[in-house]
Amino acid sequence: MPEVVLSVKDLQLEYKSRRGPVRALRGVSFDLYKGETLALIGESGCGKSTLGFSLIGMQPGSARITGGSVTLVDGESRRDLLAMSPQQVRRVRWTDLAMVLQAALNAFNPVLRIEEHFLDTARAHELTDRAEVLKRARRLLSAVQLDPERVLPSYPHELSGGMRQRVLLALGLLLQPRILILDEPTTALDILTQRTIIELLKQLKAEFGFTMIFISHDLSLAAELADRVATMYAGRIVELSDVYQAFERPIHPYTLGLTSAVPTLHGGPRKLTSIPGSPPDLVELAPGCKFGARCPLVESRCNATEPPLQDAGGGRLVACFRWEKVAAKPAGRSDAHESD
Amino acid sequence: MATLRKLWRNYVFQRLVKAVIVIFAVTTLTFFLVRLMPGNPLEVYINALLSQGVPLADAQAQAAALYHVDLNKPVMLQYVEYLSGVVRGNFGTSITAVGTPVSKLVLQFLPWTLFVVMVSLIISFSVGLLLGMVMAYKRETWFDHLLSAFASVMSSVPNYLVGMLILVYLGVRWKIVDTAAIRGSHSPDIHPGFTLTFFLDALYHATLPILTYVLTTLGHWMLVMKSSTLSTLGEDYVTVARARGLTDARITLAYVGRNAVLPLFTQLALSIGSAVGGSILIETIFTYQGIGSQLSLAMVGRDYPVMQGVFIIITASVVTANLLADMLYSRLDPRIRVQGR
Amino acid sequence: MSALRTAGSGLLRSLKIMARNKVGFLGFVLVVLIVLIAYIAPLFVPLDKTAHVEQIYEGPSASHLLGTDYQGRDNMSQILNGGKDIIYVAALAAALGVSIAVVLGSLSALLGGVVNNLAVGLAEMVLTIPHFPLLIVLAGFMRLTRPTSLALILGALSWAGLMLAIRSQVLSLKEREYVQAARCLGLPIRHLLFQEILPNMMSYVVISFVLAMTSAMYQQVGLIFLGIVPLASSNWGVMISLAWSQGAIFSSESSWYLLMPIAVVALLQFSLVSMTRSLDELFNPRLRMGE
Repeated sequence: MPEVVLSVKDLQLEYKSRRGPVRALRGVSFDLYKGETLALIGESGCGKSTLGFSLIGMQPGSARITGGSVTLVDGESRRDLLAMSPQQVRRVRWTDLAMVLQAALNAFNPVLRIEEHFLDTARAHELTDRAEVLKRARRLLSAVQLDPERVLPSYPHELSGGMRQRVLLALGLLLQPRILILDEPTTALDILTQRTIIELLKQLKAEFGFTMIFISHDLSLAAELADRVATMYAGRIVELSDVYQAFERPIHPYTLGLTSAVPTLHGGPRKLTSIPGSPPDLVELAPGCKFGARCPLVESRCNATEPPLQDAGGGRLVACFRWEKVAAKPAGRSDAHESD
Repeated sequence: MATLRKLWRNYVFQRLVKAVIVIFAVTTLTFFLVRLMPGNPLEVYINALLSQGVPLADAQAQAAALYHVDLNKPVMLQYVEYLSGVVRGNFGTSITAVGTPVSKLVLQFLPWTLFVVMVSLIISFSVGLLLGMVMAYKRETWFDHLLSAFASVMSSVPNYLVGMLILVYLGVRWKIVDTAAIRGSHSPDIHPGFTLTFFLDALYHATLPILTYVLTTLGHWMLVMKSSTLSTLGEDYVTVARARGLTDARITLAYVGRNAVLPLFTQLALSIGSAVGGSILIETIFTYQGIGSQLSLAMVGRDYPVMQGVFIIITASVVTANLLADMLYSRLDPRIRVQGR
Repeated sequence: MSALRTAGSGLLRSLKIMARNKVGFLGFVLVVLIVLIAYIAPLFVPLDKTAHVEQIYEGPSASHLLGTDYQGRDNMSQILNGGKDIIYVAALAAALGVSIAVVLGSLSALLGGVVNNLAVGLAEMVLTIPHFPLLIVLAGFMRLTRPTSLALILGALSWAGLMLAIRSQVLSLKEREYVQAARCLGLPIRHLLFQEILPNMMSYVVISFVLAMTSAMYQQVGLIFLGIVPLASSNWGVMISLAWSQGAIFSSESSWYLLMPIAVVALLQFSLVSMTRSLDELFNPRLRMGE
């Protein structure tokens, strides 16, 4: 039985807007196993970034967690992050859970040198031995294929964008976090840098053995890096499968739609489909399944009750009444509406 | 040549060169102003002497001594002579204070003005900085609204009018301040020197001018700092700093504050210039004997050598202060320093 | 007739937009009021020039709403008549300064090269030299008795800061597609300037004009106060200057002579500055989005 390092149960979050409360997270549940790479995939507005930030207690100011739990598991100890004081949460950040905002163009303080960033981070977590910190920093910078002697005394503006990305990764591993969360690790990067970062992540994971969650809208990234894929829609996880199953035999219409929308290198040209419609309004939510309006397999019971996240066998979870029907379709074919 | 080009890249060196050019330009301007404008004071002076029966040669000699200029020589030579005089600190002698070299007057009065301007600037800048930051953190609260209102009102009213109101209300109406005693830059019975009594006395006399400057410039610093802090708070590195688990104190100081304050330094130069410029009016109102009131007195008394000299010195001080502000800014923002290693 | 109607409805719409910022709109209203009164009131309330020695420095009364001055003349009439010159000089100086700034800034951005370097160098120099002392020196050597000459001098010094800002604005706009297109078509610089670039900078220019007015007023009243600019009759600046030198501060009745012009000038300055917020709203309408 694989060891659980993080357990999220029924997490709910809403924030205020002029039109009313926006329910950005509506009961997210998943377990994170030690050493795996979990991909959180979804379109803009599905709540994936909000989820990431909520895990480290950095949800936007006007947001409130209205239910659920986020539990860090370390052997026998179980700590509920939502029940912690702000001081305790601060200590958890970057040590147990490190959320690295890879998409940040300006992740570094322009008036501080890179080595000061490392020292700052260490000092905030009571690691005051300067020599030790710099030793670790050098090792990490080498691991991300940068020259420590060049990088450490530099100011951020003296490094290129790609270099800064890698420094941020190195910084992320400074305090040996058990879990690394990467938010949009390859967005806004050119394709060559993307490749470098992906290879780097694989190497770092092998070398340092952390557990990784990465959040993205890019499904092909999941194919490269992930062990398991969780697709999110309208504030909930709608499917959680291992990566091969997610691509070859998805069991949620949304995942099916996503996989069909991506062109493949192999095989002949096939008809690309996109998912019609747009994401639902999170203020005024219709009853029933939120994907219903865009689902080719929708029927009346879908619009009446929202399908719960249920066990679909083999460790897979899905939130769909008709998932068996979806499983029967081979991947890459989500044609027009079907009747039973 | 290569070293010269490399030197030019240094931001501070550029500013130094520009500063020298400005001072040079101003000196040239005043020189030719005296000779070219209608009602040339040189001629006026000579004519006045002539009408008193002084022979032309003597009149010209006296004018030359006064303006440190020899009229028989061609203009360009006179110009060069004048320039060399200025470089050596010789600006001619005063008309009204007969026989006193202008440079002596300047040295006597300049420090007082600089004292007031510097103290006001330090107080106004630091208080404005702090308040501006608090206003940003407490955005949209009553605190913010109240202070923003104060800031807008105080920064739009001309500073000399505020000075007058201060004198009228604090001095005459409510008698909080003894207007007779606080006039002037220091008390007549206290001997100038590096003593504490003297310093405190000087501070006492400078209180009203300083208060006027601070009240009228505080608002500007507050508003600029508030807006700068707000935009810094939205920067990625602040979010990342929080995600790294840094304490709020550290983030506020080294990540937000340190960066938010940078744009203010670019305004420092402007503010020194306007403070020195306004000193002419403020010092007149409070009868504070600084270089500003000297210029005003020289103006009224048509004391042209003093006017010229004081103007050049005022410009030179402002230019130097700007240079220092720029140097400070380049120390604080690593992106501005020498380009390339 | 219909042209008038469209102009009228356009005006109404603009006013509504400006009203979104309450303080700004208040400023706008006050500015309009003050300017109107300054120009219209003198037609109805003539300036009281006769000296009544027995009425020196009286406080407000039924016959003299704002009291009298050091020669017994009515303060109210002086206030009502005192704005014309000041506002005229301020507006003219601002207009001149802004025009120079716009032309010089755009040209140096569009033409580049020597023109650019000279213009920028000149602007930086003018900016570094402290303006007020320079004005005093210039006023000392020139005779500035007429309002127009004063306005010209003030305007001639005020363009520098704005010119640099406009230059950088034009530089960035120059790279926009529609400007490139116009250039490809071979349209002359004049066209580029007035048809393509300026309309996009309207907001900035108008607001700078208003701020230039406040600056010109500061300098004007300051020069008058020091007695350096001998402007005729009694405008607000002259009132302040005379009140100060004639000891109006020493009693509460006489201080009306000093405080009233100060109040009006301060009010006008504040209103002009506040107005820029409404103007900003007008030119850069803020989309009201949910928070």
